Amino acid sequence: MAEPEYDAALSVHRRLRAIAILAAAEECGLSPLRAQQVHAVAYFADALARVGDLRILDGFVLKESDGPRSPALQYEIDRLVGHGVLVATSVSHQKNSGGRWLIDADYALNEPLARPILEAASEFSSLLEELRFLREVVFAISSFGAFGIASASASDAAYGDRGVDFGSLVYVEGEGSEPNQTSQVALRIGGLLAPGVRLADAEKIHLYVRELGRRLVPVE
Amino acid sequence: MTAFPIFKKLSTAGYGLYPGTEKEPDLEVEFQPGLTLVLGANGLGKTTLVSLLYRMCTGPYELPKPVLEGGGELKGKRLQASKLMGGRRMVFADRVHDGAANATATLDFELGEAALSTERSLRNLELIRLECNGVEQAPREDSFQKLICERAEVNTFVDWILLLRHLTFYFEDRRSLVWDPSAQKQILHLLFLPRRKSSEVRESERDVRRLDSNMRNTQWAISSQESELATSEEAISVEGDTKKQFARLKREQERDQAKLNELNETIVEMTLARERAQLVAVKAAGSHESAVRNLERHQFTAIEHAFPSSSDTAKYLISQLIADNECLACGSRAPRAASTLEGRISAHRCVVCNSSVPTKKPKAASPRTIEKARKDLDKAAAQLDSADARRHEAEAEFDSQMATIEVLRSKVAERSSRIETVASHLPPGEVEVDEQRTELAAMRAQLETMKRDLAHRRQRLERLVQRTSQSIVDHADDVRNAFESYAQDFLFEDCRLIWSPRKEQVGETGAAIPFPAFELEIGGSDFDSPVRRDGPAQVSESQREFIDLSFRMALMQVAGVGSRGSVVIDAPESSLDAVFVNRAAEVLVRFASEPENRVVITSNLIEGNLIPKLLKLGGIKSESSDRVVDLLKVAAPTAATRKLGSAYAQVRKDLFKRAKAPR
Repeated sequence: MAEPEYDAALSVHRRLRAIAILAAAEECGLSPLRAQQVHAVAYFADALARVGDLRILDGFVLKESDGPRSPALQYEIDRLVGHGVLVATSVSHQKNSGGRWLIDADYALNEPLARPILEAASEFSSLLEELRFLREVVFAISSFGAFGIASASASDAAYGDRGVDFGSLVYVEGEGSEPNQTSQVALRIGGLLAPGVRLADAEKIHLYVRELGRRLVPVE
Repeated sequence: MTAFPIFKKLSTAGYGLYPGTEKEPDLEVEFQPGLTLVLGANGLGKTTLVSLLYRMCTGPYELPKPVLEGGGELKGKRLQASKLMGGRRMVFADRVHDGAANATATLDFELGEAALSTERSLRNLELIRLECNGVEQAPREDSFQKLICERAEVNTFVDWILLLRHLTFYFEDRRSLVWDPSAQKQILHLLFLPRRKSSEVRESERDVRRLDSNMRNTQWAISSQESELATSEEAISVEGDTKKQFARLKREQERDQAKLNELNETIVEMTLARERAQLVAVKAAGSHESAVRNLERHQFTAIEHAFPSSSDTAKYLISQLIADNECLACGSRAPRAASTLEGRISAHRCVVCNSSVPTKKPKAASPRTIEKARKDLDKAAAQLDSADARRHEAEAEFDSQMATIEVLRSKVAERSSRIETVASHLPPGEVEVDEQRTELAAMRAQLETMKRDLAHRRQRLERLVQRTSQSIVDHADDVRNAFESYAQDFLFEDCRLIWSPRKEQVGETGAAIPFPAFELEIGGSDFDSPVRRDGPAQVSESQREFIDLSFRMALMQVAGVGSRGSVVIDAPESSLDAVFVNRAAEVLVRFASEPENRVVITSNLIEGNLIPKLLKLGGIKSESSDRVVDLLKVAAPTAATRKLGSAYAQVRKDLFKRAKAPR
């Protein structure tokens, strides 16, 4: 049987994204993040990637009522814990709504080991751009608060699309040359809310997330 | 909302197959709310009775042959109900010696608020009488069809026949709606869109197909015109390098264009295959992670007690090492270290330094549980490997096909401009050639207009389908819930409908458009979680029957006016094993017990539980109940029933006796 090719660059990229997400979470006072929150933010980073011209790391994700979760990203998070870059606390194993066992934990950066990685990445302009973009995504989403982050995907244009049922794939990479619905809305939203004004990527993200926030059902 | 027929009364007069008794001549069935059981033996006319009910609803009209026989997809064609000719109109006449010369049948039924009554000749199905709410109507087929369309709230009579065939009547030659995307698209549009909208989608789809076909014809005409022109040009000029080059380019272009068309036709299928492989792989990755985590959590519980400190990270690392033999710190495979650590845990020693740990009995899982979790993990890993390999294969195949298409497209485009350049260097021709060139230029201009028009209409259709699909999605949860409530009673496996719009290429060019559709996920003996089943061949025969029936009942419940409907099933026992019979009876009676629903079931007098169970659950207590149509009494006897009448009577008696017996 053909062994699937291991994409080393993709693996490093995923790890860097996890670190960047947790670094930004720390900056805005959200750290540590629960596993599902990390996955939700990582999903939004992919879903909004076309706004900032970022690489999409998970081209498609299974739609589940608990929100998006990437086994590949979780694998990299595990490795980061192994390397001591992340610290895991309150570790437990939970069954999700589909009856699958998942690991749950609070993840935070282990500063002394994580900081040099972020600094090394910042040496490259494209990665620096990406870190900034991820920071904006986390900052925007942080407005939902700790509980809102994990459930925000339910209102997202792509993940929350009622035309895609639970148990089906959400194509984060979009179809053909078209970006996914999330990026499409985020790219257009500036023109709708502030006609004639040229918006920066960060502003588009914030506007999109603000709209998302209006559609979120408040948690009792 | 759509109105489904609620059968009230069926009777025949002068029909030799159902002479009735001296006291009660002919056939007369009053369909009470709930279950009606038609009992008989081979040759007594059970299936004829079902056909009679059906023909009283359709008259001498049927779906067009290609659609009826399953080979032809609906594909938005303007379908006309085809009139039954010759022998096909004589189905009832052929069963009796007098050709049913004076025989008639009458059906009373409700459609929404309307009470309809029709009488037809059984000789040739001709309409004799038509009534709506007690008012006599002109007994003409067009009046009948118009009345039906208005009252059932459908656009065309073909729509009505489609609903009867796919929802009401459970014929032997049926196709399961879940696995027939073309019919499902049509039915979902019919049931959940206003009549005007469903007709607009169909018209718009038809428009696109027509234009697409015209465009391809024009393309073909241009191509042959170009060849003719080349020949004419060759004829009027001396041979030269330019001529030869022109002819060669034309040949190459034709060959590549044909190849490109061929490749384009396979793209929709390949996209579907790729998406399906991706879905399977993503689900396998989820199952694999679940298996790892399950094993890990057992180890984690054990480790928790063997630790001198409470470092979550260390426990995290070690449980992962023991569960998956992988060291998260360095990424190495380390089965030996895993086994050493596992040994320390079972000996109640510290996993890090091997010191003795004060014994606090861990609530660890039994070795058997752990062994099972390990086996599950091995199985999940094998499934993941296989799913990943298939996914990579499908993706590679798709990518390679797309790359080939891209290369061909740019080659064709590039060559096309070269052909024009070379053509412009050809020596000037005679008048005729000039005319040909002018004509060709006009055709090319026309083609461009057609392409623009087609693109515009295709875009319009896509937007329309997108909007209408949203309206259908509004009902998806209700359909899913109703389906699950029936299917769960039928089936032991987890079974659910997934809203999964299906991409279909409208015409032979352009991008595929996702049309509304449900797909099915069902568990299986060798799968941990429900998996998509693409066709009826992927489930057992009993499952297929139940899935189809559950889907029909769910659609009628959700989309029917007043959630009402009738189901007519001919001989369900043929595909049920002894265990499923009880479940089938329960679910059928449950549907029948919804207020005003009618369920008509025909069956031979057979041993087994089906009939007693139906009698019992359906509240049919005696052989003389008007919910039982006893064809042994009503129908003309066959040689077998004449000779073995008392044996049949005994079987019938026993079945009723068993229905009364306590469990």
